[in-house]
Amino acid sequence: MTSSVVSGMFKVVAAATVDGHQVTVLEPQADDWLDTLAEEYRQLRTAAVVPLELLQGLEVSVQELQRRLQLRMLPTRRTGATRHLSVERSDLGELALAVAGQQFRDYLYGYRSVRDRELVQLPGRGIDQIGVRAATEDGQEVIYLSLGEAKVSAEAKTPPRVVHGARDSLHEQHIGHLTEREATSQKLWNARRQTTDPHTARLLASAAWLWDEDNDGRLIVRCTSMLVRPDHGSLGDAGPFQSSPSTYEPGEVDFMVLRVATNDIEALVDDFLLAAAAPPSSPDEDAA
Amino acid sequence: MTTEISELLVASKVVETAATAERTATIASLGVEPTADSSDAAVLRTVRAAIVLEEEAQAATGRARREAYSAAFACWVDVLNASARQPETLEALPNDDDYDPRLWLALRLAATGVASERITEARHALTSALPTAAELSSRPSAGTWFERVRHDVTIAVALLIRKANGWDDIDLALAVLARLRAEQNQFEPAYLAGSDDDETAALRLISLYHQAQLVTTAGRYIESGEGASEGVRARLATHLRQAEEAASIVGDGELAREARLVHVALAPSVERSIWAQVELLGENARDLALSLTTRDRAHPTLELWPGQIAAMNEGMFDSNRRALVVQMPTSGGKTLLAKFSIMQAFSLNPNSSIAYVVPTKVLANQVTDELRRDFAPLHKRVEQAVPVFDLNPTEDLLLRQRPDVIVTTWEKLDLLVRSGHESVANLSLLIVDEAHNIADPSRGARLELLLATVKRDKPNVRYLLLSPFMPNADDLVAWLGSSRQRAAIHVDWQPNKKVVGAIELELRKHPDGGQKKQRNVVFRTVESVDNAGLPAGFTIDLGVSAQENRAAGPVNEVAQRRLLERGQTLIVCGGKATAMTRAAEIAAGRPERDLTAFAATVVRHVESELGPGNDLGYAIRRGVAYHHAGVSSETRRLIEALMSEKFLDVITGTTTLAQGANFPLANVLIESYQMGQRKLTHSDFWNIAGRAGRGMLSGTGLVGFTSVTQQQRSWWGDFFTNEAADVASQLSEIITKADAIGSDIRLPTLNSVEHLSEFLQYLAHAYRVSGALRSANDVEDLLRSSLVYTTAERTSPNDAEQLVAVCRRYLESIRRDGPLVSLADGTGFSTPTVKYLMAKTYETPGVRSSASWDPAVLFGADSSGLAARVEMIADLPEMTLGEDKPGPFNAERVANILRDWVNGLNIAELVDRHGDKSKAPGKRTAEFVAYLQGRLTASASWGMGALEKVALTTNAADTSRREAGHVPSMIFYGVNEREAVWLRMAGLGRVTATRAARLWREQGRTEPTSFDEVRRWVSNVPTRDWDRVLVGTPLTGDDVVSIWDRTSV
Repeated sequence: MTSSVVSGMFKVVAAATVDGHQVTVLEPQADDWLDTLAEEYRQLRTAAVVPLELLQGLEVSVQELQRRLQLRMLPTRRTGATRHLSVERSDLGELALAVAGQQFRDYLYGYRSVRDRELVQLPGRGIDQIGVRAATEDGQEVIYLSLGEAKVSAEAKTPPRVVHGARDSLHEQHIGHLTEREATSQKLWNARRQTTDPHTARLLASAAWLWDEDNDGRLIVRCTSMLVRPDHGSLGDAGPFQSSPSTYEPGEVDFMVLRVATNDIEALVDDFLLAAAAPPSSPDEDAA
Repeated sequence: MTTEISELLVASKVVETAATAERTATIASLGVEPTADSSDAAVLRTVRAAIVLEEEAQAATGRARREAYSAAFACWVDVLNASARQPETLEALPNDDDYDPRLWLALRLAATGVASERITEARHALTSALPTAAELSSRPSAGTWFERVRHDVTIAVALLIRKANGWDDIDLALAVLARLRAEQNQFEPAYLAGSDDDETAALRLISLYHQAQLVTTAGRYIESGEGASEGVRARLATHLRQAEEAASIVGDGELAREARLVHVALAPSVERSIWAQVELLGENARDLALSLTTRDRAHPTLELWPGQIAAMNEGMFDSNRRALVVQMPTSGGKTLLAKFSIMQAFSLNPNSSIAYVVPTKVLANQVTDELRRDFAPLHKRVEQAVPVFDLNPTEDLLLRQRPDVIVTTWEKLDLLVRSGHESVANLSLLIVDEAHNIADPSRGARLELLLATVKRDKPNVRYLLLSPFMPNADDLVAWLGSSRQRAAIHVDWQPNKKVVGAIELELRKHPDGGQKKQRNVVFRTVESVDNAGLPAGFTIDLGVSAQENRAAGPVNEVAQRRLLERGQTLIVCGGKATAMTRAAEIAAGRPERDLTAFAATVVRHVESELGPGNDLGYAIRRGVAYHHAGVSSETRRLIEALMSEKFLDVITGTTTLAQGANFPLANVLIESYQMGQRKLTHSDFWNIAGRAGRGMLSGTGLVGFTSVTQQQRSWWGDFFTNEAADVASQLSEIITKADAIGSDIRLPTLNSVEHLSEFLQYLAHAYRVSGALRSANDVEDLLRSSLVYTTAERTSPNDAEQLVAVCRRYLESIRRDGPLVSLADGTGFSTPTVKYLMAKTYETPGVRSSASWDPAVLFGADSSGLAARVEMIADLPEMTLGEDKPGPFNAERVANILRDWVNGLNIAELVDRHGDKSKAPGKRTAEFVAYLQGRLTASASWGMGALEKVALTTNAADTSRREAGHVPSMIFYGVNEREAVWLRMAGLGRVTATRAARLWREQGRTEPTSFDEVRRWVSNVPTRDWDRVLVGTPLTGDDVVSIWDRTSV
């Protein structure tokens, strides 16, 4: 799932770590990072070219299937009849969350809400990104489970209300995940169901099981947040995640502020949306 | 028990959850209502544990993979059982809404069951989970085209794994897939047109189509074996990759997972299919595979079991191995491996013959039937040499036609080998079934020395020793294999779960109160045994005993009643008479049932043998029978058939039956650790235990042993604590008593040194074949063929020297006795015995007259001649004529019994005339029958055969010799005409053979030239002719035809 274009996309410019809780401020490494992210977005949201080899070796009639798949010889958006992507504003934050999760934490994502939005029907509010990673600590196998939520905010206040104060703030979301255990359990098991990669599915299954059980420290839950902020973004944007991280126990706080070099974050989001929603180029055009 | 499953899953109680599921499923399979939590939450937890384990298994390899799948399988079985009790349980399954939860579960049962090598359990589970093929084929498909394809693909997978009812499941699986292909154009367009996202719909269909193609490819290969298995496996992998890829493109994790499960279920099925297993074994093996899978078979051998494949992978068919010992649990499928070994031997030596030796007549019958049926299409003749220590002239003649495979007991093969019989002149392979019998105190020495003799006489012969229990199998390989040795093949795989426990009495408060206690019979699992997830001390209440004493009979009577609902029960008794008594007791407590046509035939057959009002017929009418060496071969076969048809609920027997039971048994109850004169050994026990839950024939086996007295508890406690003894030579007493064995060996020495006779016979034969064996090297070479010497050489050089000394003294003593040695070699007696017998014949000159051996005279009204002969052989050290009543041996009584037996009296008449009147009628009959057919006829026929050879050495004309030569067989078979002997050899019952002999003569037929000729003749006798000659007997012509159809192959 990790795309090569995202490796090294961000750099850590500030960090605070207390009792395993982390707050980090990130910045893009390169000037064209937004285009790169938009390209990643397009890759996720655009169905891959279907190799016609998939129709080989069958003893059934494949003409009709082939006809329908001819459309897929050019990249198109995943669902629907229109030929451009329906991009949502929250996608920028979710995408940045996943990219940072892969770059800094080695998380695996079974399904990505950005990509699979139309395919996955989850009961109630979903979790933006569920990441997993296996590790060995003190000689014991453990699984890291990242319950990831993302927000974009240009609000001048530190921390912004999307972190703490709003009805749907990161704080409320994470507290909800931690306290509504059965609902979160269901989301984890569903994440496993939707996952096509066997290795990731295996880790998700184990994580879901450990979530349900008295896991004796074998499951390390990380309340992962991604807050996209204009150039005044700081560690302080983590608000209660930094000041009283024990609120989220047994979860560990992993709060990332992505600070971008602009005061006009709305314009940045618009640029991202435009870039991401541009019609895909055909393979021939790329070659030319 | 250690596990290879990830430590994380162990620590997080996934493995524990699976163990609970295993335990619960085992308890349910024992017919006990599980007490485990069956709430929705508990079931959901089991489902989730299974999911975790499945995911884990897919990432693992080797044992870890197998264990994870096994644990997942246990969970799914538990869920299946829960859904049987509460159908709403299925709602807990995380299946897609448009996917039938039963099929969702069936796919997982199939995949995890196959991948964990719990194939027989998977088949049982799928039988519970799904209807029969006939019901499935008539069920209309509904829903969208996608649902329809998904439904049918899963059904086809489950059917290809279940393989029930001969070919039914395979045929239906392929038919279902063909129907899908035919219906595609009719239903697919509407489905695609109706989909919101036709590209996604198309890709999901493509994924499913590849699943369907995977199943079709596997199914066709399983059906016909067309193409190379490697190519088929590659195609399966390609379809899996394509199915996964299509599902991945649309992000459908469940569909991708389904494709993987389909592959997990079917790839091993292709690999284990009989076609894949024989493809490198040559044309003969392929022909055998075709024979084993013909359409008319109720149980075609479409795939090999994991244990069989493990044996093959360990070099089972390495033609460079001279001796092969295969240690595999009872019911693990050793016989099939033997069949392929036979075909391999024919490939290597096309004109050779093969000997297959077994310990009992029951097994000889079974193996003969099975091999004859399987090898007939391959034009290989399989014959049974009559398992008696004698070779009558007709059998001699028939065997000279050199059957391709001879099945018999080792005693008879020993006789054939030592007499240089043509039938074994070109032996290439010797198969020994139940080879641990080398350690049998009474018969093991003969088997060891047979192997030693063959090893010396026929250096090109290869050996295949089969046993469920042989701790020191490598020693035997080293002994027989010489320099071409490799380790023994040891396979642990078992087709069924087994639960072993004690049958105990527990005193509990009486429900009515008061001082009186109630005696509850319970089954309690023991330690030291892997009880399919059950802990030691797990208890099942079996009922209340009304008896005040602690006798085994009433306790087991209660036990079998409670266990009836689980399936058929074998009660292993300490002796033949006890088995008969126990059957009668159990039958007495049961109502008479309606007889099937075949059961009625069996009852009439039994009446013809035992007389009217006999106890066996009484028991059969109540669903009970006994079965032991004292029952005629024909009756035993018919009882086995009634067991197979599930007409009988309970069968009582001895270890003899336990060595050969080849019918479904859910429960085995061992009444006593005392088996005749000896104690139960570990190999006895595990061999008996292996009969419970046989292969495809039944599920979890329950094995209970009676432990109600302090003595029994103590014995069984030691038994399970102690290690099994090595398979050791039974000739060791010869070493310990070597000083007492001088050069002039007389009968008292033979009597006092166990198995000295067999050892001397071995030496004498070697002397006869090799000539003088004087030098120390010669003698050592001779001895090195024996297990006793090779063991002594390794462990105690002094013992080895002692043995050499005994050997040299004896060989020196017979140096000038060439004719005596030759004579002895064809008798089964040692030279001192034969010398003694010769002297006796000179003391009784009448015996040396061929006229005195005329059956009409010998078995006539005056039995003095017969009594004289009985007297002569009764003293021989090798003989155990014994009697069924106390007091000194009475040769006249024994002779009269034999005379009346040969002259056709039925058992009731014999008991009436000769039974021990001091005993109660039931016991009188039981002990008489056990004596007559379990000991006397076999021993007397052997002794009489030897006496006849000694007595008529020189002075008998050929014609009278031929007549006299049938006397031992007449005693063995209980008939008084040669024609009847021939027909008995072909498999007819005693009464029928006697009447058929009349028909044979009426048609002017003379001595047969082949076994086939006799069998064909019997098959062609019209029913009306049978009716005519059977007048006056309980049997009808239809009875004979029905019996013949079931007992002849």
